[in-house]
Amino acid sequence: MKYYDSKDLKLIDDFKEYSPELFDAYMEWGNKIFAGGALSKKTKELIAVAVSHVVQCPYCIDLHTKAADNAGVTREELAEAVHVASAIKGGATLFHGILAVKTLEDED
Amino acid sequence: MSVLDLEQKLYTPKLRVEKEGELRVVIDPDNARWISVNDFGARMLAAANDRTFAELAREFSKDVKDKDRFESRLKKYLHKCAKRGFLTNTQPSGNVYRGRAGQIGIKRLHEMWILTNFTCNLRCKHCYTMDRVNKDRRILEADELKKIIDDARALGTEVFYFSGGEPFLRKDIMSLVEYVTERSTLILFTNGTLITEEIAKKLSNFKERLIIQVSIEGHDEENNSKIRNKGMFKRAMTGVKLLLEEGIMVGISSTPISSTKESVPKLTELLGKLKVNSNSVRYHHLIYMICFGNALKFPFMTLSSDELSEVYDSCCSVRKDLKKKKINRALKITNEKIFDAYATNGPKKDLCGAGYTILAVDTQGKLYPCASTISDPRYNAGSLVDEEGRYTPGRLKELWEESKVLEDIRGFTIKRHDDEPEDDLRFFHGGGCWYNMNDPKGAFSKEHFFAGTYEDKTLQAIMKAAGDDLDEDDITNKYPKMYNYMSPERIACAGSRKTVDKSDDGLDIGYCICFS
Repeated sequence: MKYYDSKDLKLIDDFKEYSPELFDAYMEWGNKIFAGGALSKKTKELIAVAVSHVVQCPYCIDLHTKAADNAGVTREELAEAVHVASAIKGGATLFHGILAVKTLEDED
Repeated sequence: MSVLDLEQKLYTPKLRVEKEGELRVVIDPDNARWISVNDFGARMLAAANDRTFAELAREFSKDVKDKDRFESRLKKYLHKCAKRGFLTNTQPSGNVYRGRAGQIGIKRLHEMWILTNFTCNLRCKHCYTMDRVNKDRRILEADELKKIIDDARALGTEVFYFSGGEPFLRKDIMSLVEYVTERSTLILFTNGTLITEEIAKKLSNFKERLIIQVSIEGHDEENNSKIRNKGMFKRAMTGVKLLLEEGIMVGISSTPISSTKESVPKLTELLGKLKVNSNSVRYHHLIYMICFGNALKFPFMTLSSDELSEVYDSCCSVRKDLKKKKINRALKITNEKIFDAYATNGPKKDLCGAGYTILAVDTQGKLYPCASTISDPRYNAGSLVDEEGRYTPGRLKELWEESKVLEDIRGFTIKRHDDEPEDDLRFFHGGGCWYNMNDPKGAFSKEHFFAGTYEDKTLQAIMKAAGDDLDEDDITNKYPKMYNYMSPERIACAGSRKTVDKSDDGLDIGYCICFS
């Protein structure tokens, strides 16, 4: 069996059959979130791309990169969003150094 | 669909098989789905109808040494076919598709077209609202339009379109652009010739949710002026550059005719090479000529289906070339994306979203099912405003739900008639624009001007999707095997038009030009 094949995405329809009601509820929830609102579709998709990279979900990256492209996000904007995500992820590691310091130095 | 009893008789739907090298694409034209298989798989499926597994196994395992292993592979293949709807234990009932009336209902609006004004500075030879241009100077007050926009939003509308006439001739156009883009996407159709530095600067305030679609008909003045006024090519291109300079998202639309069929792909190339402040045009959209209004007065305003296919292919190949050479990797031919969507995502489609998810309002507040029908009194669904031009909230919903005209339109169908081919791809592409058919209530195959293009390009897209990620060398013929299949539904997140009810059979409206 191949993990993470691009054709896998279609199997979501089969997964839906396992529990249609829960799946539909998720879809409705998702559609409401992604509809234009105070944030534009473009911004929402940029956030989605950034988060998809952090959670390292290939399917999410595939779908949301395409959706961002359709919403008019440029390649430069996309790259900057992923850089922001990587900065937060890198920074989160770095700033957990605080805990290391606390562990070693906090003598109270 | 997925549980197959191999002890019972097997049945297949009506099948059409296409070949591409070693690959076979088995199409179920009535239910709009396909699977890609090897030759063995295609032959087996073709032989499976009204047979039992035992009969099939006997016939196909004659020269096989390890019969048990072969039979187990065979079973696996047949179950896969069943899972994708290509095999059942139920004899086809012979029920004929009755059309979409009553099968899909209205649930949410998705797009709203607003004709801001009919006045125009150009006199295009293909204009289907020409009769109204400058004769009809009434415009809906901005305040009333805003109320309609509010109501459309409440009904679910995510995308608004402004068209005309030429929207930039309307004095308060900026306040309307601002109003829509506060919460929704706006696609504004313009001839681009009136865009000044000042207008582009103002528009840039709203660019987060704004797409400006400029109509240009060829790659130079000579070709553009075959349809549009003389001297307008340079002005439109200047408009495009001013918009790009401000980082506004720009798309270009062209309506090819016979005499511009070579020029339109050259325009794709020109657009692909155009860069202003590292911004470039996002898409080139081919509009299929609407043969009404002005187009009827000019006999040369024609294009055959073959010619349209030619233009489409050339534009796509220019796009691919630009991408390959890394000159422009972002430019899209929107039509190509639409055909790809037809080929990769179900379900079965019957005509378009006009009157379902799409509505249009003209300058007087009259409601129509879509922009193409907007100057045709036969499709006027009633007035949104009273005699003083005032809009009462709730009226849009009322007309959308209760207008007889819209109800009739929602009943239009491309169901097959007895004299029509049995295996065309109408339920994949939905038949396109019924307004372009001579008999809008029925006959699709021969009457639709661009039926040939719809068929060819849908098939082309199916073949491309069927062989996706597959090398010829991967194809074995020792046992039946399935490689790929069409997704039965629109893939989640891949498009925003997921707003219709579906029938028990899985039925949907087709895409119109929407790609946002």
